[in-house]
Amino acid sequence: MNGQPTAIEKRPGPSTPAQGASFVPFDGEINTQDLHLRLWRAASPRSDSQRRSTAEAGQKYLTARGCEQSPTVLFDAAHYLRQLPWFVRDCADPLDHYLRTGWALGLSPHLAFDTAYLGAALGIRAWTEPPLLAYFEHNEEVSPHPLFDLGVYARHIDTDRLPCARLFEVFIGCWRGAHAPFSRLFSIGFYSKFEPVVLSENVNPLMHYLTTEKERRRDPNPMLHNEWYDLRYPARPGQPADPLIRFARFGLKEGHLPNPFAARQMKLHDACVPVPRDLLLEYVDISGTNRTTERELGQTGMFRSAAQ
Amino acid sequence: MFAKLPPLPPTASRSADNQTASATDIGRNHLAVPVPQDLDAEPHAEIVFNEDRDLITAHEDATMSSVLHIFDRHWHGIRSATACLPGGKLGISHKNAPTPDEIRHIEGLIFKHGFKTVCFQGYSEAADYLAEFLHRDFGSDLRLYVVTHVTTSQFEHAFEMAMLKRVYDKVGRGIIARAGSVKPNFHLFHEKTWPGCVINIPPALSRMVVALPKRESGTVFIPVENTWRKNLYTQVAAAQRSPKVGRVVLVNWPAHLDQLVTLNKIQVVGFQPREGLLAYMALAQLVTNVSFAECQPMTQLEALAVGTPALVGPLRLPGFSDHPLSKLCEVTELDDPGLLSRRMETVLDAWRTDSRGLVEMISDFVGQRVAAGLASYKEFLEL
Repeated sequence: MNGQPTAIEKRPGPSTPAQGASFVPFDGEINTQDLHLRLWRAASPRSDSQRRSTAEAGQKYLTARGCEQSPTVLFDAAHYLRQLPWFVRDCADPLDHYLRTGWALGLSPHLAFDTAYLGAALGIRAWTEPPLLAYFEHNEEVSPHPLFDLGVYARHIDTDRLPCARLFEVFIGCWRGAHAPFSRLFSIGFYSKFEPVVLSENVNPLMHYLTTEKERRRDPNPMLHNEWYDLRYPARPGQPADPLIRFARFGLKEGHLPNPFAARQMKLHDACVPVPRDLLLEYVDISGTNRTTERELGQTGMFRSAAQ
Repeated sequence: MFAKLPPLPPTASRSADNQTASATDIGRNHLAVPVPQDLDAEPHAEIVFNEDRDLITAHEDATMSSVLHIFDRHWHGIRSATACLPGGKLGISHKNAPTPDEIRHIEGLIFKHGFKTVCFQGYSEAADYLAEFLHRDFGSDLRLYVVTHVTTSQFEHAFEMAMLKRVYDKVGRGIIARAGSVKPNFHLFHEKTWPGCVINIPPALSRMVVALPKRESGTVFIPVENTWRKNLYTQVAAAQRSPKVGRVVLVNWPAHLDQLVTLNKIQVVGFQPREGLLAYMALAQLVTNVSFAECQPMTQLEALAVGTPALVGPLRLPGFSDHPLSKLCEVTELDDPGLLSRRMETVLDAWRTDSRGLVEMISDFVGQRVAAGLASYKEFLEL
């Protein structure tokens, strides 16, 4: 544990994070070696899964694993450490810290890994294991971020040739070779009109958006006016601060208007009545209208689907 | 038309296109057609997008689906002409510059709907302001065009010239790809005008539910405002004096004419919404819009769409001057009630002697007009 506090074992009950599922720490002894091994195996690309399943390979991995090493791009050590108080940021092994205690403190392994959203998607009310591990060990892939739509992204990527276990890892780690529309709400084309660096330097648009200060973020959805939405439907306790993410998680369900002109355009007689979800989704959905983007992204990437 | 609408007099109800009616005129001898409604029932909206009324009479053409027409929602004549065209429809207001929220929304709409071409129908300061933003934010991804609906005779309103100057300046700077006109030969006035003629098309009525009344023999409908250019007095006097005209339906009262002429055939129905106008047009055997200066009046095209011939002044539209219907209905006797009366009678006689031929003539004209109109737009917009 490298001298890190072990307060987690002493806490009287499960922690209650600000949003989503709560976190229930382990009872008793924590076998982090086992957690490392499970994560390494669960995060294995299909082509390597058989080799990793052997005890010998596992032992070799544990012996050779460097402190900065992670079996998945969905653990971002730098991002993780930024969440820790400054006096513990020098911990030698961030992944080990996460698997041992960090997850139970509600710390996020990656900026785009939304634990609360994942918990809701997996139907988990209280985490009893690291969410990153649960994500990889779940039989089917689910999106860990409300602005990443597996269905949309999978339409453009050849899933048979994935170098990672999850499509979301390709999206995060291999964007340069696998740039493609990834969301029904996030338009690469519209966003890049105002943030051209996304196209010119092949920056992952979602990561660019998430790493930009909230006040300086440009609207990624042509129909959702972030600033207006934020004023009209301010974040309630426990809700994400970002208007688009909040809309994706709550606004769609609650029938929120995405802009001041939407009620008239959707022919609603009463702007105060929640908008039916299907109507609202059709209004804000840009996955079928990314024509420009698809043309701009048209060059063949290494994971691009041949069918495209 | 670039003209700003004049302020309404205190007694007026609404102005729509070329109709204004005083409260005292409305209510006389109403026909059995829908009750006039408030056409401008958009009190809080400065921008409107793809409203039903702007789509329902539109022709369909896949080539033009990537075109967004931007019109002024207060200029009803241009709005009516725009409503007949294929493509998206965005109404703005010349009364205020678009707000940042509105510009943001318009850009979102353009992106979401995949519009590649914007065609400003008429031009105002607000349109000019918007054009700057669209050019800045979309650059070459979005081509901007302007269609002017003005004649040089309307330059008595300095506003028209000021707006044209802005358009031509932007053409010079490459912000606006082309400026076209619905007035034939307008390029001979200004070399920065596209040399072709943009042609308006009649409304498609197949999707519209209109209760069309049975045609009434000898009825003439004159849906024009009472201005010098629109020539209401001559038309009323001509219709009134013809023994073959039984009833003359007006939307505006020819004030003081009753001092000189008996107006026993006149019925003023006042301001009419589009459905009401079409119903009166279908009721009449003849619609007249014999004005002194005109580009391509929608009154004529709406009348033809319901199968009623429309007398108009000389339009000289390329490709249509020799059409039998143009020869029958384009008149040069603009300020001569006696001669104009005879031209009215010629058309009314055609109903009696060869109504089938007249209907076929109208149908042929409408078909050609739609084809020519769509072709002219595609050529102008480089589609």
